[in-house]
Amino acid sequence: MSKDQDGRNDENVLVGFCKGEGKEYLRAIECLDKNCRPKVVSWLLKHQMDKRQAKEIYEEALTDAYVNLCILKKPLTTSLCGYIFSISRNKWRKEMGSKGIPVEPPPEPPVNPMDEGIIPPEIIKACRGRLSQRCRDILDDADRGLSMEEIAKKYGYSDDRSAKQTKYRCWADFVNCVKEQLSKEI
Amino acid sequence: MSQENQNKEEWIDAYVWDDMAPEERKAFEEQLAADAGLREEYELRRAIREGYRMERLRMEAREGINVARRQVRAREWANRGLLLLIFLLGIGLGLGLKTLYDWWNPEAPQKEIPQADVIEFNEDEEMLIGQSNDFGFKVAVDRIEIQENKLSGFSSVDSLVVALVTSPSEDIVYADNTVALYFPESQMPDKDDIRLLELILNGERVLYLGIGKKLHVLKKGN
Repeated sequence: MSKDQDGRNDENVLVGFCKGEGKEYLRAIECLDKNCRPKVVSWLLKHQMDKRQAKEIYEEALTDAYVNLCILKKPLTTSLCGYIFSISRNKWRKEMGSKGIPVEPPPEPPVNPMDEGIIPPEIIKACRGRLSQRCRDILDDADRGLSMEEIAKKYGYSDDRSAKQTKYRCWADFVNCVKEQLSKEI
Repeated sequence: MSQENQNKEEWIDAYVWDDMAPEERKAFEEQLAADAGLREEYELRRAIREGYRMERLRMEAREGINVARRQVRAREWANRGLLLLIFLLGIGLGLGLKTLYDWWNPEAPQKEIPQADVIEFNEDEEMLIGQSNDFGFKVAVDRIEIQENKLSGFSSVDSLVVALVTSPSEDIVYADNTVALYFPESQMPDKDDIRLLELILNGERVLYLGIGKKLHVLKKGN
């Protein structure tokens, strides 16, 4: 297959991937799982990762690629698989670093905007996991842009004021958890 | 935490969650520009808010990918099931058509396993002589093994070229897969009515000639 054809296929896969649903999305996921996943996983397996870790890193990289390219609309300067591979490699470096294993060559500049924020995603994930299911649902809905009236109605609050109070109480718990984790890291 | 701090945090949270009226936002932004402490806390909370949003997006994206994978797998299984169904339907259709064909063509050749005690033959009826290649045709030889009067096997083996001739000669020819059958012209059977049957009856090899439903001994011996 020529480079042009490869490029067009890659573009089609990216377009389908970013649809987020429907036939084209399924085809894109199928295509990435068939063509990209084996490359990434086999590379990770050759670099001290076990099967479960390699699979998890690929899943996270695929998810990050979706958020970066399709939601945050970051430009793609390489092939889609190359991009996923690059995110996977950074995650692998982080994993190796956490085990105290030196990695050569030195880390590349981060390509994943989610790794660039000042709050490490692991802390956010852990603290989100500590919230009650109801708190998570309410914060998620508020984050999606639902109004307080809609949230009050959805969760059976008498008025939007009660819903708002719950939301800010949940949010305060979350922020305190993150702060606590950050202070431990320092 | 002091009341002042709590109020400050609530004020920041209202801003990062976009829960402020425009005038209040403006007041907050002015205060933000002037108060370094407020700015620091705001930066942290804004980053946490952004981190939360990212994590939510990640969770939703991952769930979406998992759902897509389940659908892809379900589709693959459905395709396999469909192929299997088509295969089974093909077999069923084939068997059905064969049954129908057999039902509509009762005259079609059917392998009937003859019983040793009902075989009719007439050794005196000598009519197998001569050899001719004039109009030979192939007849499958059915082979049956009978041991102690029990049928132990039945299969079609080999084939012979049978020639129907009207000029008598002395010997039955059973070489080079050719057998010549002599009939007076008036009794010449249809070639479809003729078959050869090789029986091994308790070790003895007997070649029968079947004309219609009647069997004639063609050759005995090993």
